Amino acid sequence: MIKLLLVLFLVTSIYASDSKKASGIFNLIVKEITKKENSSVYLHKGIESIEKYPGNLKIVTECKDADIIILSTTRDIPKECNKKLLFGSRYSHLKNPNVIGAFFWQKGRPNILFYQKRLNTHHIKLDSSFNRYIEE
Amino acid sequence: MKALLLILICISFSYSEGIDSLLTDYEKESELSNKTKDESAGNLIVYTRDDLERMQVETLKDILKSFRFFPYAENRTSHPDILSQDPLSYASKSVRIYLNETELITSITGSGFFLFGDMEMDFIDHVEIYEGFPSFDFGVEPATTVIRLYSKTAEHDEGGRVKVTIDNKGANKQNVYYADKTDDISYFMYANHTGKKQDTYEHHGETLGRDKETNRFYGSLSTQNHNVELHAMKQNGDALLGSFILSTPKNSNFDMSYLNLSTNSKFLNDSLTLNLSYNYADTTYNYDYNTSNPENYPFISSLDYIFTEESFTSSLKKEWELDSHTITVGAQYRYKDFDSGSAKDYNEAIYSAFIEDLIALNNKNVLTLSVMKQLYKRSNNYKDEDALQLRLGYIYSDKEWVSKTFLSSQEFIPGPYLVLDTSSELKPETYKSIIQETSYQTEKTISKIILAYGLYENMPIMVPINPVQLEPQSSSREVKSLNAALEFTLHFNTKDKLELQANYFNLESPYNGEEIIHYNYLLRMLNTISKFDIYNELVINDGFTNLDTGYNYSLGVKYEVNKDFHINLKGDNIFDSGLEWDYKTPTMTNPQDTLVIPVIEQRFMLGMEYLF
Repeated sequence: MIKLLLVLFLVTSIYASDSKKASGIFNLIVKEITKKENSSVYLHKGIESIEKYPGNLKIVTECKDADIIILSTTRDIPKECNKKLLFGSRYSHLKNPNVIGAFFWQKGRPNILFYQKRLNTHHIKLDSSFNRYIEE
Repeated sequence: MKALLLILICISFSYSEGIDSLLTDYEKESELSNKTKDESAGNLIVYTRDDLERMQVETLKDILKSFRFFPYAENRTSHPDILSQDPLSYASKSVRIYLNETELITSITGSGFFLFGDMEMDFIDHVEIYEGFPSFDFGVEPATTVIRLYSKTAEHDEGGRVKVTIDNKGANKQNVYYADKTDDISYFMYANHTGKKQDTYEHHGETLGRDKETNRFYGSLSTQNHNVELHAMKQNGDALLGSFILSTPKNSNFDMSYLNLSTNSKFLNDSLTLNLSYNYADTTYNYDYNTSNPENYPFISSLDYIFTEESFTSSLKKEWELDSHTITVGAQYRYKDFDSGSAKDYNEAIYSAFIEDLIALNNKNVLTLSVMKQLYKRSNNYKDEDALQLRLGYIYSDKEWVSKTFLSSQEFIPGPYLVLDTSSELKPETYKSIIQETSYQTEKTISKIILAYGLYENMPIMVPINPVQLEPQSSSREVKSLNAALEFTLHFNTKDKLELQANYFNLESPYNGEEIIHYNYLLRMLNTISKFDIYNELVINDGFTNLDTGYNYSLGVKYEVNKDFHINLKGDNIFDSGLEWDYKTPTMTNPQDTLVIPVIEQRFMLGMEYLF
């Protein structure tokens, strides 16, 4: 089936890769947070889009080597990860006060949300294009 | 090609794009229809979530009114029947309707289109319509058209929405949904009430109506590989002319309850699927007749029908990918029965198996071969039947051109509602067809031409067996159909598009061989200007026997107050000149008498929706 879809809609599928787009957004967010072109990320329990299309992100296998941790769940986060920057992939991840922001689907649309207080704690200043995604 | 891929990947990761536009692009490319649609399964029409929202699609008939070749129609009891052949009680048994992986059926009609063809769309994410004898992969029994409705999911719709709509005729609709997920489980819940009000019509001194009251609940609970769904509906309303052809009712109404419980499980990396589904429905019809009305048959003062029906379906499918072959094998079982409170109680077991092979000949050419066989075991001395379906498809595609050719030969076993209503032996309908679809795509346009030729045998017709009674019989005529469609879509940009469609329908009548010819045209514009989504649509239906040309113009404006609050305004059939339909109402003095009423009435709606 994969082959067939590839045959049928090659051009469309190139553009239609939502995973690639999702990873592009994660790339942009991580770059804004870490201010690094090539950040090291630890993916807690995996993030499929970044694993498929890492872009400029370097995926590491241990928290201690990472600039930022991207979560697919807030369960069983290794202790050493809590010392790092945590970023969520669901709205509910923001319930964890250590999570500085999240990129998630809600109400039928993709959203990005940061809390200013948590950004301040980590001395993070985002570009003004992110202002509409920051709440007090 | 590698260079092109590299360029596109670079573009995707280019940080020159703002975060806002990245999110907009991502939302568009994450349309769930991109993941569910199967272009090889038939001649496909997709209404994405964006289409449904910007067109303000309230019910399924809002999109079926411009359906290719067959505009939306209802039978004489005001139930959806898109292939309507009045006075046949129901002609759309080959139009099959699915909600996610579950086929919605009624045991009597054999197809759920009867109950769900005008269902509200407020919990539906997107719609896929497969025309032209689609893939056997879809279901137990054969189909000429498959309508797949996909509900919203917690994956994209975490949170909730309330929506309220009213119209100028006093109709109202209120619904709410809520979705949430945890790490292991997600759920979606939806409840709706619709009070549909329509005009009444004076005919033979009686007042006929087709108002409906509908309450629906839908809920799904999903884990990564398993899904359970519960769908319940209660509906009552007016049944327009009723099923008795010789009298016009002074009162006609129906009341029905429907329940579906289904599960869908995936194993072995999604290559093995098991679907189980249970349906229950009970329906009552009541018709009262004024026997002193000179236009009525004088000896029947009322008719009452009570049906209780159940069905159970299990379906097991396995897919293998072997080199260039994708082979799917399915074994399916369906049991259905109904009790009409008379000697006509009936049950039927259907054993069905299919095999389908998709062969990628090279990177541009695909062949698909399918065989499906059913065995029908029927109760009460009704004859057991078996049916065979064959399908051969060839698909060519490159960057600009896609060509699909489908040849099929199918047998359709007469539905219980026909078998139980006749003393004649009904033969299986046989359909042989060839359909060619060619499309050409550029960056901003899609042009499509479709040609279809079919040969049909043993189509059911209503034949008088005495002065006051008709019964279904198999037509002895082999009839031909020839259909053609031209379609053009222009995307001005991501939010503005123009669709132009024209199609020609030609079918010989199974009654007398006369050609039934009609033409349908569609002009649709979708635009987004600032915070306004504007929808313009003109549907023209021309050439329908004894009916004036229908001009159905609709206009909708959706205003985004903020991301979570929208106000909708829409006019349907604004000039009250849309397609009408005629129903036979013969009397002793005028055997050719008909009732002619609009399929879709003029109405103006105001709606509000709030996301939370």
